[in-house]
Amino acid sequence: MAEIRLEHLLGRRVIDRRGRVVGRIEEVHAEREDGEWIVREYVLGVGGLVERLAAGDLVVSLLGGFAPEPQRHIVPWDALDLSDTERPRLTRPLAELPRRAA
Amino acid sequence: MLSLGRDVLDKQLLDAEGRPFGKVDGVVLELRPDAPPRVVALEVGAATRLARLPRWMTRPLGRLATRATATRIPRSAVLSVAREIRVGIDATETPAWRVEKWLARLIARIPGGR
Amino acid sequence: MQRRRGVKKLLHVALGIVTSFGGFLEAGSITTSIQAGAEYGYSLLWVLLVGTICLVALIEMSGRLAAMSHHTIAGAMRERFGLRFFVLPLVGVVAVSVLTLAAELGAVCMALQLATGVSFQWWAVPVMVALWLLLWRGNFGVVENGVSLLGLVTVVFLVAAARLHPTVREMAAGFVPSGAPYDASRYWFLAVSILGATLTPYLFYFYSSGAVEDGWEPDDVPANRFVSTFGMGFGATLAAAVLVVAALVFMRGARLESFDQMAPMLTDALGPWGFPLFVAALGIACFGAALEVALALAYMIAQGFGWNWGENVRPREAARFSVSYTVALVLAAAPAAIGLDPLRLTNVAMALNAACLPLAVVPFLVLMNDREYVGDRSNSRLGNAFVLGVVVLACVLAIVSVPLDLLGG
Repeated sequence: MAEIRLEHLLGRRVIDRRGRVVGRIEEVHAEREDGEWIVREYVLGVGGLVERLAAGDLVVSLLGGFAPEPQRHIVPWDALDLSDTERPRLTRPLAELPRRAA
Repeated sequence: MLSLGRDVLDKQLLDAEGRPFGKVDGVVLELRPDAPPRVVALEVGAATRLARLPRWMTRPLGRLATRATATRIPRSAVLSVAREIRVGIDATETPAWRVEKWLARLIARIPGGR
Repeated sequence: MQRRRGVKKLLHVALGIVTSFGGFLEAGSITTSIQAGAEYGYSLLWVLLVGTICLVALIEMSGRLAAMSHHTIAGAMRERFGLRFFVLPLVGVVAVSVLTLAAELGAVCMALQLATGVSFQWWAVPVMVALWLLLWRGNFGVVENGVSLLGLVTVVFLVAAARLHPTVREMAAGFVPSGAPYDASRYWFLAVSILGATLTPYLFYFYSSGAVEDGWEPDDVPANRFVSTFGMGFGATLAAAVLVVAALVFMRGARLESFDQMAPMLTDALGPWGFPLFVAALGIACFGAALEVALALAYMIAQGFGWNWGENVRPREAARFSVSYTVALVLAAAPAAIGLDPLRLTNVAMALNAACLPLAVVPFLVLMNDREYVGDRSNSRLGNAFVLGVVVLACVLAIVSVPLDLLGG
């Protein structure tokens, strides 16, 4: 049974089909189905450390309208290739993946 | 929809008796060919925690780190996910309780510990 | 039935205010206020005011977090930020708190030296054992409240200040922020020490633990505001009183190097009772603070790792929690036992508290703006900006002025 740990998956950089870093895995959504917890999608956060920190609630409170908008994409489970657990890879182009409202 | 990072990982664990016995230190996912991954177990223990910390922090611990345990809780044992995660096992039977048990034995020798 | 609940709540609020008042002074606030008053008169009072307002805000936030989320600060930090990030503020606050505990313990030993003539070094182990026994065998709530009520003896500073008839106009001028009248690096070092002493992280981490244990609910939030404002506010007047007495009794610019030199400060106002009252106030206040720091430390660790913790747990039921405060006490007794000067240790501890503030407070501020934790009662922009400003200022000052003072002194 191939295993992967959530705590190592979260925060890991994701690359696209061309090998470029597109963002990091911010969250994993699962659905309860027949008593199982099945992973449905991943939330991909685009942007560097500064953007990620800057989008936090505290900064939004301080900067109000000037706070940057976080960019997040929803990656369905079959659009992420985890055969190399250290390097999750998108199987579809980023542009095809739905943007997520903040 | 369950947000595994927000709602499960690092959340307080309560055993069948309502006893707090740590926070969820790890979540184990099974990767399946042609099927979505699924959660198979939760993990609690110092070994799981140490694996999450950067190497430069854990190296000074040296041999002490090899004695750390990790307790697997099968997903089927999870009763509810709310502010805490309630699991249907007895914490005192798990390796995670080993340190607590050892210390409790020590404490029993000191007057007033009971 | 409703009226009984109302009366009970009122008593609870009153107790909260009285114990905050009696428990406010501790080694850091006493020594920094005395040094500030002796060396710069009233001109550092504004720092005390700024620090107190910030403390009131932080205490209120801790109570609000507990009431809205039923989480303590440490517990919420681990859950919200994950283990890897949480370890940083945990280690920082624990390290600084152990140092603070050492300072409190050292001050108690000094009080005993002043009372008996026996060197403070010999008192280190007995005091440590006394503290440990109270935690091991006692009900924390009873012990805490009891010692805080005894701590009301610190009111002698207020009495002494009144009897010395300070000029109100001169005092009021001290509350207006001003620059250093001389020796700027020393001035700012004392300013940062006052901030560090007023804003020790263990205070609000401990407060949130009590609030969670008492099962605070959202409608406890207004009462919490009341307790934090008046409890801490009144407590701060004691610190101000210490500063005022020092300003009037010592020669301006006098650098006090030891507790022996500070001890006679109440005799001008209170006659021969002044000395024993100072010793009692110092000893009791620091003993109470030591209990609180030790508990706060153990709570933080237990809450961060999800172990059993609480006021009434028997040591055997919460073994790791009990061992945590035991180890902390042993470590804290070491400096006094080997003869490290308690006054110097207190100064260093307070400066480090200030330096560590952003690490302790910024994650807390993030939690206070996260609707998942505080619902619709999140922080105001002003509250965020003010606390953040003070905390960053304290840290920057600490980093800049501490090395300068060490080089100069």
